Amino acid sequence: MLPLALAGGLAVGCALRPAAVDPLERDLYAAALDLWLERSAQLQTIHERIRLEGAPICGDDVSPVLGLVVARATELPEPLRRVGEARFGAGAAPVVTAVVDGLPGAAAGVRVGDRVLRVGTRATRSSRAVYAPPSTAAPTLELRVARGARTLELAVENRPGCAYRAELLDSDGFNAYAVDRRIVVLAGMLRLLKDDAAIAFVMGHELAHHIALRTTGQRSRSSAAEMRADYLGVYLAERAEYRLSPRDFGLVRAVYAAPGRLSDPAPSHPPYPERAVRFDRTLAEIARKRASGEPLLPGVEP
Amino acid sequence: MSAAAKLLAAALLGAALVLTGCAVPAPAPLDAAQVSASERGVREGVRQLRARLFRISYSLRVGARRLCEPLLLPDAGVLLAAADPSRPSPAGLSVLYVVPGSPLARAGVREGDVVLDLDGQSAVQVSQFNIALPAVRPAELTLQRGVEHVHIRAELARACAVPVELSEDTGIMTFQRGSSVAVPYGLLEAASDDWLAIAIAHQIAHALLEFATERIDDPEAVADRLGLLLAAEAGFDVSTAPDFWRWLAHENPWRIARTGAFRIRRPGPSLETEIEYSAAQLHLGIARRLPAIRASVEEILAARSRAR
Repeated sequence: MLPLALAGGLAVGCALRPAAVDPLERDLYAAALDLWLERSAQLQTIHERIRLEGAPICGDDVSPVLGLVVARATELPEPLRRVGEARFGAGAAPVVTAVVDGLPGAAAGVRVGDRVLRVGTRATRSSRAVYAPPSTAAPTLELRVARGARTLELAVENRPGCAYRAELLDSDGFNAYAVDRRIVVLAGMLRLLKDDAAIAFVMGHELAHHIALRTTGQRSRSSAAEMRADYLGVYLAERAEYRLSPRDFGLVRAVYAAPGRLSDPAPSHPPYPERAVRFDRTLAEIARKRASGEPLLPGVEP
Repeated sequence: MSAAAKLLAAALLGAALVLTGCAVPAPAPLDAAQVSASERGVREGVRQLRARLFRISYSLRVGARRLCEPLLLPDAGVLLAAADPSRPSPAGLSVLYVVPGSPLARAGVREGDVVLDLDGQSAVQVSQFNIALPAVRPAELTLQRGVEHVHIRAELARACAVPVELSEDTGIMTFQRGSSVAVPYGLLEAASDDWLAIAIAHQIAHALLEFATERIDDPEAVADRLGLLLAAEAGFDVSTAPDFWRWLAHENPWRIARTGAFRIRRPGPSLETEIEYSAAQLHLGIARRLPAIRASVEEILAARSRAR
């Protein structure tokens, strides 16, 4: 009787097993996921460092910086969800894919592969819980993670940073924008800019828009607002030790794609060559402050 | 208050002024010469970008002409711009770039020359220039170079008659735009000369296949093979073609498995837009096509070494 039942069970199991995925297709999806995770880690690492070092400029608009990069299958771009589920499982808890050196998560012993179950008092149902933990005055916050079969409670130092999170968008476009409490960066921009320093400047620029919005209460689309965002963006990147050089003004390269923009720029933006010259001037200002040991705090733009 | 604290307080006050916005005086004006230099730098960058695409397109279309017959037209191998109307120079077409080794280059045309007339017709517009090129006899041009007039006579090369142009977007795959092949800036930045040739040749193949008399069941597979033959015929290295298509798949994973007709919406370049693509634009099913691409490459390389 038992062997027959087992045989029956096996037969049902075989009939239900899905057809094998073409190995070439599987490899392509796996490599595509690797690329996405690499870009995600690059983006989130830069973001965590910038928001941490930007804390003095953000005043009380801060939240703890964990310095972790996580992934959840349902948050991946649609073509990558199946391979993401195979790699990370279908659960709600985000999986750590990178740990940023020198930040609180690393110091507390979080490891790649850990599933984050709880941040402080909140169960984690999305990556948002890890990228924007609730503000607290306590010196540490408790992180509960699952590592293999074990559950660990880790005490993470509370180091505050500007309370915004970064999001990678699956698009070939060359753009980044500040919206809600997020900085959205398109994959196309990461592909084109490549270097951490150039990307750090773009993220600093967008964070600067958030900071200005919070202090003035209104979103300004003026030329002056864009120039101030460039200026503050350089400071935010340099404070996080991203050393910029004139060629990092990657936005100038976007002009290559639209030569007409030189003489007819988008109304809210100053012409790109002007922005490039101001960018160089801000770099010189920062170099002077570094040389004289002054703190890197933005003044009135020169 | 210590000196350091005073400095910090002053800096924070400055920062506060920056942040409140209204109290900030207008930024100091810029040195006009610096801005001009910056602008010239960007224009030169644009010119070099267009020149690179032009050179590869010309090499491909002239080099593969045997496979494009009879869809051939004479090609001057020069990148032209309308002469600057604000400058006191005669109306004409400025030569931005001449493809090295092309007939007009060998005949002495140089960057900076201004084309005054072609075959006796003056003030030809850029859009008319290629159409006006003589098909059978040598072309005759009058150029302004400094204060001199230079007369050039040269037999033009014939090339695959599929125009190739730069597209101002940051995507990474070529596409059909009207009757032209559009090459996005994003591809130009990321790809080697050989990869660009492979991508453009694939599109030229699609254009040629539109003249096919028989029904084609699998146009992508046919365009893959014909595109590789075109690129190899023109002397480009197709051995890395599988890497190119794999790279495209990694960057745009929605191209990996889907085939046939469907529509996909993806985020566009700004907050408000989403882009819809039709199956024809997508170059789908890369996983399914790769084995045949590899086989074609091996066949081409084997034929090449036998020929040596």
